[in-house]
Amino acid sequence: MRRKEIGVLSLVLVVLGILAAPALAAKSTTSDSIQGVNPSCYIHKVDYGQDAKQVTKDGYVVTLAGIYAEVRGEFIMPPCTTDPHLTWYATDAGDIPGALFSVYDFQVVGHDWQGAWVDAYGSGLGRAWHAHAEVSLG
Amino acid sequence: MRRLLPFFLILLILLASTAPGTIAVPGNPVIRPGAYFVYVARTNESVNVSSLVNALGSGNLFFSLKRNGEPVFVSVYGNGSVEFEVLSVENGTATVRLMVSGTDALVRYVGNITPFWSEGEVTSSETHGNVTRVAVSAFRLSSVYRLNVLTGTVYDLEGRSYGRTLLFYGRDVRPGRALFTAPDGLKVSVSKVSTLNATVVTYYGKFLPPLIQVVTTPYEVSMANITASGRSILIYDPGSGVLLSYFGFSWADFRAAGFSLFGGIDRGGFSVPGKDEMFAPGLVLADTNVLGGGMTVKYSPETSPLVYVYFALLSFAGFFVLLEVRRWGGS
Repeated sequence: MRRKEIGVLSLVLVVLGILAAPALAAKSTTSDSIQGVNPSCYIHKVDYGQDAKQVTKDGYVVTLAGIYAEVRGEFIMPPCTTDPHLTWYATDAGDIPGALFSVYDFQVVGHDWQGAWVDAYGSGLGRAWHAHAEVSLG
Repeated sequence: MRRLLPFFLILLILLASTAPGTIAVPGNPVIRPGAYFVYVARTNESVNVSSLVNALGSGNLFFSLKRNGEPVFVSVYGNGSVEFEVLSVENGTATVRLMVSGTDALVRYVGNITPFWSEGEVTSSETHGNVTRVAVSAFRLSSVYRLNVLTGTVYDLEGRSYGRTLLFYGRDVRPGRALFTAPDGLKVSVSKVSTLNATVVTYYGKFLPPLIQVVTTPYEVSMANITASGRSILIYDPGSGVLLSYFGFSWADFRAAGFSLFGGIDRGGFSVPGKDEMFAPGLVLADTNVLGGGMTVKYSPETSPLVYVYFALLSFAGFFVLLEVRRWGGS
């Protein structure tokens, strides 16, 4: 009895394997097609700039005050899109006591600058502060 | 004549009670015909002229304007200069010329515009899509706007109001005071007025403490692809009310002159001159003819033309009082 059951089970498994083969093959093909996307379709770039007052204490660098600028850009290119463009965001911040302002610029791929930049400025603690960050395809 | 005496006395009392308002504060003394104020943003780095057309970043001086209806953005990577000159003052309204100049600048614009630079100054140019970039070795731009010397309100030549001038400090500059607005919802006010207990170094000279520091509320200005956001700081000399430095990216004066974005950063500001001393941040005072050299006009009762009327009435009334005293003594 047991030998017969094992034989039937093996037969069922073989049949199922034959039936499932095309589906498994299709899945594998799909996976290949994702990996086959042009890696230049999406280009991620990040830049960070800092102007800080720092001291070394117990072997560690301690930031007392300053400002920073950060840009994150994602360039979306053909063949993923027929409208190549740049999505981006820029941030700036600081903890100096005076005023802070930033100037941002971003440009569309193929039209002008292929990137984005931010200049962050601050005034306080007896001096002016400046941090710059930029991303580009160039 | 005796009947007139009470009227003179009443007039004197009225003048005395309103003296600070009528005699000492009729606008600002530094805004007079021929007065000028020059602010600069200089670099301490050499500029690579061959790559200027591809330069990134705001530069030492940056501004935007509309020309032929198209947005234009200019970054000055060399030295930038801004001059305010009072051309005339009539009926309490000054006509002010704003002159902007710079070296090693990059001009970016959309479409076709009438150049404000000479062809001989162009070092290179590129066009991508509808945006053109032109690198110029030097340029000069000027625009005119109006300023009410009593209220400090600035207007464009068509009479549109933009807000309060940055050129001089006044007692009206207090936290909450509206500074400038725009139809697109822009609203900027005074956030803080404080005393700056440091010597501020400018190209004009050193200014000893205490000085006045004005900080605005946060705001944002955009034109085409350029956005600027944050707060601004102004530093004033309290004695004259003259602006010593402008650390910001937009103001009513610039907007009235046609520049929605306008800012500058002198590289000297990144240095630390010494203890209790700082280099003025932003656009820095470099020259003016309203300070020192006998040109300073301090507005006080002694220098107001109304003071002569005041003293004449006082003498007149005194004369009558003396007459009365003599009569009472004689009777």
